Amino acid sequence: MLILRKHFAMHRKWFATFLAGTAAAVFGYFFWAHQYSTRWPGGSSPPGLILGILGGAIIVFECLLWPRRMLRSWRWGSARLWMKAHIWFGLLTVPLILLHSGFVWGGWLSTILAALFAMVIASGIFGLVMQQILPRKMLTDTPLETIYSQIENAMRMAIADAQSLVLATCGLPKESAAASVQSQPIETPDDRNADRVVIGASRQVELIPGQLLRTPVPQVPVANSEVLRQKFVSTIQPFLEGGLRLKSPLKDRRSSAEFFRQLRAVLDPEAHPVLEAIEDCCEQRRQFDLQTRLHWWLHSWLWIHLPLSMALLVLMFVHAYVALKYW
Amino acid sequence: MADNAYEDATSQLWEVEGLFARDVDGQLIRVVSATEKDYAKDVTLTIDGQSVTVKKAVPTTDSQGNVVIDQEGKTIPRSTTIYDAAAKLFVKKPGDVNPIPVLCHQEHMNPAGVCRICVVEVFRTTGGKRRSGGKLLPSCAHRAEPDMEVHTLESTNEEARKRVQRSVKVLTELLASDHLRPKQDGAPGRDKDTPNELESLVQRVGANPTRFTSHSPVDRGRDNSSTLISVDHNSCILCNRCIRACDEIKKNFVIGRAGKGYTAKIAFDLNDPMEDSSCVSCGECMVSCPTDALTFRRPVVSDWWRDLVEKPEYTAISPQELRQHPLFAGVPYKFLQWNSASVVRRKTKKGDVLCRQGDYGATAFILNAGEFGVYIGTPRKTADEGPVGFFGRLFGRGTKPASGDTADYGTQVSTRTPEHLILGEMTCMSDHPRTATVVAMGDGEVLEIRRNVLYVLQRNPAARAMLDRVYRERALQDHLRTISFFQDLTKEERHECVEFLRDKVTLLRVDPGQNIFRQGEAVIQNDEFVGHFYMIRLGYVKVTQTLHGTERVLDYIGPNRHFGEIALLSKIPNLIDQHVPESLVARRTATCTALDDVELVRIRGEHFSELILRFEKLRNKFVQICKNHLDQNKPVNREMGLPMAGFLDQGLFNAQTLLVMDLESCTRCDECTRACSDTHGGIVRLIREGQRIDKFLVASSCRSCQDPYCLVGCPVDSIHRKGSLEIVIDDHCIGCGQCAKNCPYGNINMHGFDVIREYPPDSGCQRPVIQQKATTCDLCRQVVGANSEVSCVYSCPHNAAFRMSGSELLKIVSGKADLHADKSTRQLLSHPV
Repeated sequence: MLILRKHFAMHRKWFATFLAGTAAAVFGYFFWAHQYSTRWPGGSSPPGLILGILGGAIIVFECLLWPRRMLRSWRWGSARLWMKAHIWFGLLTVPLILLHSGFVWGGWLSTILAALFAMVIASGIFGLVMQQILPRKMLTDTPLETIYSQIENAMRMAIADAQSLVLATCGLPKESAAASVQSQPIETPDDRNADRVVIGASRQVELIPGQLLRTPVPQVPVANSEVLRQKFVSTIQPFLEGGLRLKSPLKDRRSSAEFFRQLRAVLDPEAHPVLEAIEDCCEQRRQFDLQTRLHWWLHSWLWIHLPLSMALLVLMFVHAYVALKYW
Repeated sequence: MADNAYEDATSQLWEVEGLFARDVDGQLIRVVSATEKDYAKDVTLTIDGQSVTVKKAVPTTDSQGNVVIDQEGKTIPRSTTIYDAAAKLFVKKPGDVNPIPVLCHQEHMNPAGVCRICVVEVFRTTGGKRRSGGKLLPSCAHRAEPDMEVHTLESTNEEARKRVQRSVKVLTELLASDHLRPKQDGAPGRDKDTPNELESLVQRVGANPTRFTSHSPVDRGRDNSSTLISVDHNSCILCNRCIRACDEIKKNFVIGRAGKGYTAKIAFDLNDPMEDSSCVSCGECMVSCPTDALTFRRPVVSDWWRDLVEKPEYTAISPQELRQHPLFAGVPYKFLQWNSASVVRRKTKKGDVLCRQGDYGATAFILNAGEFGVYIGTPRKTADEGPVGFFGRLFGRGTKPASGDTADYGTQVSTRTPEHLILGEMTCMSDHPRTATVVAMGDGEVLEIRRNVLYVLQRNPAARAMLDRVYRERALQDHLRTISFFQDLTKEERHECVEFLRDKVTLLRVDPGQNIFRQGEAVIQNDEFVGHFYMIRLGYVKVTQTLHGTERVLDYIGPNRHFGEIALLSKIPNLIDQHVPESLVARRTATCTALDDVELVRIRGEHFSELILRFEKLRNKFVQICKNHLDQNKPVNREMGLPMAGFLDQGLFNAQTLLVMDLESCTRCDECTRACSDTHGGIVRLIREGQRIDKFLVASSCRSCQDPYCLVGCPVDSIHRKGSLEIVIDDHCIGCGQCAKNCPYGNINMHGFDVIREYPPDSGCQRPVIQQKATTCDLCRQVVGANSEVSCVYSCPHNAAFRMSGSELLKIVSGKADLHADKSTRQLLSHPV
């Protein structure tokens, strides 16, 4: 969730609550310490206990975000409200727990707990920072982005299109090349209708009115275009299939431009529109790969944040039990 | 060569048919095409002794009577036929009978001329002599020509009448002997007491169906594979109606012909069983079939009908009863049987409300008895009355129940009786909210019909003409009441202006993409006004100006706005002429093009000038408006630059509830999609992909268009607006995909639902099948109610998803409103629409 710049207006009240909560906790803690204690009050002292209970309650609340997100159709308050509360109450736990600790590590359990807490907070802040930066980067750097789970499907279709274009430009391949260039049927991952009776119409996408952008395809194969087929089979198609995992001149935008410039120089101008379309496919592959990387950074921190949070929750209850038992 | 091409007698005989040729199917087709010049030419002919004058050609229309435009934006002329002339002469209102019977022809289809039941005897006077044409001519396909003397089955000329009768009778007997089958008791779609069109024809011409006893030597078989339609090939007379219904009306192109001679029959795709073919089961072929060859298996019953008939004031109405109503005379009986649950009879008592102003209704009311008051007041809010919820209910917030006092509904403007025939049709025909509240003034009775019934009613030219007349009259009356530029006038002045304009306004319909006028066109030619002033009633108009060869969009204007005044005012001295370049005085300064289906109220140029000269306040207002427009148009309008082009191309101006994602905030977590799926039982109604405008993504989800194309043509009226903006697809959807095909933005998806059905039909075997149904975003109204936020927005944790109208998006993109900072915008967006 964006909290910086113009979006901060939405968080003003939450930020004020966070400041007020922190100030109240600090003031109450130091006031009590000044009045009734000679050292920093620990978790068993009245202010420490109150702050601990408050911090624990907030941690429990923070963990409720997970079931809230799982039960999406339940009307428990909007997700953005929960997220704002999650962020600002989560940050508020830092001063509360810090004061609750009395600035000492304590035993091994509380040390582990403190370390876990620090990691949870750090991973959360890391995620928040990623959310401030990466969506903007995706907006500017990957204009061709698609739904993350559909990247491979979209690429498969792009490859099939490119194969058709090559076939139209270069003509039927020689026997040796035929096997590799012939169009492969696009797999339908969930063809559940194959052995079932279907009543009614399926979606007829081709009937949707609108402008269809078509690459001008040569009516007859272009002379001396065999080099395009060779390059397609040896370099372009592997790159479109494998992307940045492979070592390819097409990985980099500049070397890719040079690759296609050289190819354009040896090909008949009639084949140039097809070449441009294939170049666009390579650009699409690069952007999809960048999108995949950014998507990973944007979401992978959750794999740390979530398990650690669960571990923190469990250990927190153990800590509470142990603390109360041996008080 | 051409002069003596037909020398022998046989050739001369063929010359009569020389207007026609045979197409690849061996059917007669017209080879003499009409031209636009023929629109202006009158043809006078005599039919059964009565003279009638028709235009030599008329524009080709589609099945609903809308003029068809070719790719160049021109109308396609078609010759007026003898049958058309007879219809004009004898069919004045729904229920009147045309003396020419038809079987293969229907007025909303192109003629095929295959059955020859519509033959007529034609005499012509050439060289002062009256001569018979020598052979009977098919009136459905033969054009009307000057001085024709046409004799039909009902002719007073006994000789001619008998000749026609003999021919039609023999043809009918031949068809009946081969194709009339005994009816089965209780079989749906084969009502034993109600004759089909072939049987009616047998009765009408007094034919003896057993005169020719021999049936076809070949059993062409039955096709019972479809769960919706049963096909009996032996009853099929090969009239091609089903083929034309499938091809020309629904554009599905599934049905064709297979076989030759006695084995000839209709075929689905490559002669596949119906269920295995690409047939979408829309039922259009079945409704069009004049025999029992195509019949439905079970009638369509909607929840709407089930709910209503449980109430005491509503009763079901049978197709037989409906058929007796003159308005339904032109509606195929099979349609009435199939969709009898689209009509209910309602008994009203004094104070009963038929419909409320501001509601999105899906029904119209045919008035059978009683008087009904039409009230106009402040439109009632439907969904925006604030959240109800627990506390809302506790403190009595939410929809205020009607007190029953008619003062609540506003001012009574008129009273309607059965003479006015219909009420509430404007909402069905325009897809816009009700413009008035209708209250029963005493005991009465109405037939409440759904949009699909109205749609089929409009196919009948007489009913269509009547509905069109009623619609135009009411639309103009309604518009005159709400003209925006009369607002500053006093009540008396306004009344005077309205009275001045009452008989001087015309309602025009303009198709999408059609130019209303072009930049530089003169408004006066030969001292006569050829340019006019327009007010938009429905739809949107794009205003463009070409400067140095580059076209730029100045603005787009919508309902209750007006255009065309600058050129008309610039012609009047000392008003705005000094602000207009000399070359553009009395000429259009911009091009106006319809963006969607637009309804315009036109005031002719001379009347507009008179209005302006007569009312000073109005004149000053228009002068100010024109000056403002001219000043705004001087510099290149940067705000209306790039976003505007995409905005208009993608139809966003029409959208009321776009799902817009702020891509700066969106983490692509897909919570919106998951929430949509969870809310709707696993069937997602949005795709997080679509057009990008600036930093926003317009996701593929229903936009609740102001003019929803998807509602047009649903054969069972399962798709409609329900009370508010949302488009709802009811459970009785038959899965024909018409709405998905109509939606220009791909926002309606066909989804397969697993159901247990008897399959194959009549086999007694239950098995799982996949029933396709259309699904679209209903703004979660059916799940969470009208006063809650839509799930996709509600569940976005990053405040990246919004619902807003197209114009709000444009304001935000062009910097006139801020998505986050502007309070009014934020309020608008965070509240349910």
